[in-house]
Amino acid sequence: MKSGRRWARLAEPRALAFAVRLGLLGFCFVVAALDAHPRRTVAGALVLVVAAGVAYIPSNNVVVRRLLPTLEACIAAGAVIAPPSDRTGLLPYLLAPAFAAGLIYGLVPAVTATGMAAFVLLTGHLVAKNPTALHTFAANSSQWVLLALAVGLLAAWIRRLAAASAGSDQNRSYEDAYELLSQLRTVSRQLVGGLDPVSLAQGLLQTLRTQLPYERGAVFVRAEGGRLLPLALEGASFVDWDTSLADDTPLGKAWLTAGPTLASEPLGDSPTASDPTRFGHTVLPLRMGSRTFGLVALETGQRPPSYRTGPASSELRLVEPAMRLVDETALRLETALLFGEVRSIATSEERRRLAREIHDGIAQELASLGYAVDDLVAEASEDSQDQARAGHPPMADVLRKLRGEITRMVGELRLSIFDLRSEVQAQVALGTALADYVRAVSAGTTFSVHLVLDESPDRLPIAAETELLRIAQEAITNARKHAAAEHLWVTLRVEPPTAHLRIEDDGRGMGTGRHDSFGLEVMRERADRLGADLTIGSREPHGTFVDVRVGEFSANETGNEATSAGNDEIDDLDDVPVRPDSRSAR
Amino acid sequence: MVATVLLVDDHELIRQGLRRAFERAEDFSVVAEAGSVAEAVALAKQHQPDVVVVDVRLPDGNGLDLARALRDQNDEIGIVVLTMYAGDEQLFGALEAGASAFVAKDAPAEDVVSAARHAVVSPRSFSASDLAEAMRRRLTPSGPQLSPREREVLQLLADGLGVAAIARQLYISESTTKTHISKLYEKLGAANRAQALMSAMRLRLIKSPEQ
Repeated sequence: MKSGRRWARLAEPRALAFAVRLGLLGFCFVVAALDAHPRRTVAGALVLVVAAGVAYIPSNNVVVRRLLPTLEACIAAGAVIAPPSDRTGLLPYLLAPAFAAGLIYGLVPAVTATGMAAFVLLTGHLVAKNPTALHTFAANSSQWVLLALAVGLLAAWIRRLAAASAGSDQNRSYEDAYELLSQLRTVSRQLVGGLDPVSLAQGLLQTLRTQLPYERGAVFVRAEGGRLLPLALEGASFVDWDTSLADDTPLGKAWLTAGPTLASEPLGDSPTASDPTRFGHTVLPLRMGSRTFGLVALETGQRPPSYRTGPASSELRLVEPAMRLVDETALRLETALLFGEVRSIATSEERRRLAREIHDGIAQELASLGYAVDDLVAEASEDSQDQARAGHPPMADVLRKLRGEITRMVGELRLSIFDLRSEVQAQVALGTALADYVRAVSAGTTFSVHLVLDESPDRLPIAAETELLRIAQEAITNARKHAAAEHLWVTLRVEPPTAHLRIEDDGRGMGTGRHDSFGLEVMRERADRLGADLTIGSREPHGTFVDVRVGEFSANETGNEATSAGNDEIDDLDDVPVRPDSRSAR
Repeated sequence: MVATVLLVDDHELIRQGLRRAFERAEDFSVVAEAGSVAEAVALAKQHQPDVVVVDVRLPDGNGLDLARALRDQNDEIGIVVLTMYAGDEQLFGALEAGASAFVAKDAPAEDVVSAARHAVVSPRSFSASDLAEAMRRRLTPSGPQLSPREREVLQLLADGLGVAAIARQLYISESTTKTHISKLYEKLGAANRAQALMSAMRLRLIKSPEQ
């Protein structure tokens, strides 16, 4: 399909027809010069030039334009048979109008041009009473007329072929897209989590280990703002490499080369770098065509001594099979990232639509119903004294209770709308979105919220942040609606690619018959999509906790971090001094 | 004196309900109803109402922009902003737009009427039922919100340690330490260590020496 397109561009039909005309004219002039009667024949050839010029008369009328090659052919035929004698040497020019008509306008003009030329030749020969015998001239000219017809038909066929290939070009790309999308549908149905970039990246790191031994490895993708975002880590749960892609960092340099890079230095200023000379790193780009969208960075602290002396080219050869593997995975990884992006666009669009629908529909109707009840309350209050006298229960009180219920329902709807509208964005990190959400829902509630945020400057992929936000929303909503808690603790720690989210309340716990089992199911699905561990359980002495861990978060705490952020979040939270920011609402 | 009211909401039923509430109140008379920003602008010009009750979300624009435009034209007009949206963002948006009062749509119609009453009396002040709470919510987190790691770094900074020493102490790299420190400076609005420690002390994030 590519060659077809190139052909169509190359054989710009008008240019081709022009070239053929020019060539044939030149040929005719040569023939004329060699003729026994050069003057007579050259005059005929000059008429051919006029004929060629006729073909280029500008016209906006399609019919006129289609007739121009026929006119050209007739004039050319006239030049051949004009008295005093036939100039059979000029007959080859008849190919030009036939070819042009066929190529530019198709079958019918090609046939018409040739047919009219034949007609003019024969009748003209008779009318002009040229000296040659009719049968001799007919034999001579019919060859060329038939050849012209063949060339015209051929040109018309080429024209059809080119048009068909241009059309199918577009169809082919639709076919390709369709094929890919149906594959995607199949794949995403088979896997619960759809295409999961994180597990793909982890798989890549594990496979690479067999090819290039390394101590610490990471798969990064470039996020908005030009930073590298770790998708997966091996060997270390936290890397101290500079991921800002600045030109003077090892990763930044590797990014610019767009090919595999090897260097005999550590990737970061590792505290364990006792012997920096034994360090080495390999950076392999994740490429899609010529575009780099991420890096695979591998670092070793035990380079064999031969490496140090060996020429760089031999090392590069060692890297080749690994690079092939990375290139293979890059396609799948980018597809997975794209798929996640498409899904999150679709979902957030749907959430906004839902929010609008609730906002403009049921919420307004319920609010206006509330106003109607207010009206009734006002009227009933006026009548209440009469009713009291008549022994009825005061209607106003009943209505006020009803109004209270409506207010509560409208309030819930307002929060649902808020819930649907809040999202993680390129500028709004998970912590900010979560803080805003907690602040909004804690308005008018009876529990106090304790929010602890510990976010690294790097962020998780937006899709992952979104899933975490939704899990938090679900858990907080459950606590708000069902727990009757006094305190709600929300803790979020993000150290990409790991994260830990915990929501706890000291309410009445998850007794049986709570109506949020569907919500729990949805939370579990979201956690699965993240590749995260979700634990929901009872908090001691009472209450519920929801705990989500992305990656090996707890195991990687180094040094003193382990003491301050251990597994026992409850004690840990009690240790957190009461700060102005940790309390909000009553 | 009867105050004139213009109701701006694209929902007929809401306008009806509010109209009934204002009619009951006797000190108000609803002179016009608009379903869009454009209509509201024209009707406000025509009727010169004392109070405009405006919904935040309108089909052809934002009620807060309308409030701002009305306020720019007339310093004495009462503006009550109504909304179905939750979150403090709307409340502060109304405050900044120059509204006189802010009422959520789950509140009883009487709340709208009394907000309008307030708006007539003092159009340039601002009242909202949740105002104090919202202010508190807004003020507390805008005080710097330090992560535990940043808190540790801050304490070590206060102890007089340098970047390298802090990195060693916390088992993190120097570049990470620098990132934490620059984030700290940013959050504390400081340009250097001394300023950072001063504001941290003022905010009682660290103990001052005499304590």
